[in-house]
Amino acid sequence: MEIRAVEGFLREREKSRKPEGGDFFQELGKFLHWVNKEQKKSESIKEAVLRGEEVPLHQMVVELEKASLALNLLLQIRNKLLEAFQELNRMQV
Amino acid sequence: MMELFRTFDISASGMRAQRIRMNTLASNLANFESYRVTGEPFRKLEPIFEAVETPEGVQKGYVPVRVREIRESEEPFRLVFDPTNPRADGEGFVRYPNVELVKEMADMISAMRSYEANLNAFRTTRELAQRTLELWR
Amino acid sequence: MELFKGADKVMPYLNYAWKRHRVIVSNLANADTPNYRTKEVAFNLEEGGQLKTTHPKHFKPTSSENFRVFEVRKRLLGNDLNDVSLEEEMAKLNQNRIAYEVYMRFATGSLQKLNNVIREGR
Repeated sequence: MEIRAVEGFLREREKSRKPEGGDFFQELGKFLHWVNKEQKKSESIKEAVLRGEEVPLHQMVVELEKASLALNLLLQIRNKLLEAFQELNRMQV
Repeated sequence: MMELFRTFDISASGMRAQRIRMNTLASNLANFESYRVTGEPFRKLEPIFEAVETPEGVQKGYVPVRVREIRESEEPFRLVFDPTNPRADGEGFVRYPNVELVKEMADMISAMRSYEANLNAFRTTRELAQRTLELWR
Repeated sequence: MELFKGADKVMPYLNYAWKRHRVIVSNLANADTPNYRTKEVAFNLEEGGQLKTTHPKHFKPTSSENFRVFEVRKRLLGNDLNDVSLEEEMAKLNQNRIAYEVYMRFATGSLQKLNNVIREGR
């Protein structure tokens, strides 16, 4: 009886927690989407420059910088997540 | 990038126009007392500048200059009273080319100044581009 | 993502300075062209680069950059109906160049700052 109560309690907590976890992955997805968009933007600017279109130099520089910054941010977040995962993995239960 | 090159083109068109102007001025000075084979005095040459203005170009800030034509001046010839000169007409006047030394010299100075201004603009564009690229490591 | 807010805020100014540079260069190229009138770029900084139309007959800005090139029409004209002042344009050229460099530094500076934070100062 008592064990079941605890189980029920845990299940309740899982339920209340779930949206939180979903939120994080949702945000991560949005972030990935954004990084991808920046990459595509920089790619289209590069193509426009190669095609000989009139792209001002400063615009090109700033857009390319933005894209590389977004990618750096993504890499850093990936590193942090991996670290966190390995930390959890090493933890002795 | 094309846009940057076009900006150089504007200054280059200015320099080219001014150089053509200087060349015609020099040839005017050289022919200060020349006559044609026909006996007609040399006519001063003057380049006609024209702005290449299109509504679209103006909005982009792209207005280069071009020399539409180099034409002969219609200004009257200089008349000098010199009855002993073989070229003198019935009344003793000799017709000389319509080149005025002082005017040509003043024009030369103006052309040089404009040329230098364009050169300066050219350099500034280049420096701006270099700075922009330097900030992009 | 509003990560690039700082850089994006400078972009209209940078676009403006670049266009102004081109217009000044054009003015200098046409310093001796008959019938040429000095040109300038209009840019309303207070409305975020949006041009105001205070009169129904005013042109609406057509480009996405929100500024417009117009003729100054000074009253002082030379013999050839050209009103470009070489000295004035040179002064403008130098001022504008410094403004451009400052804006460029703002833009890349804010990006470099972010990059620094991302790399944790390494």
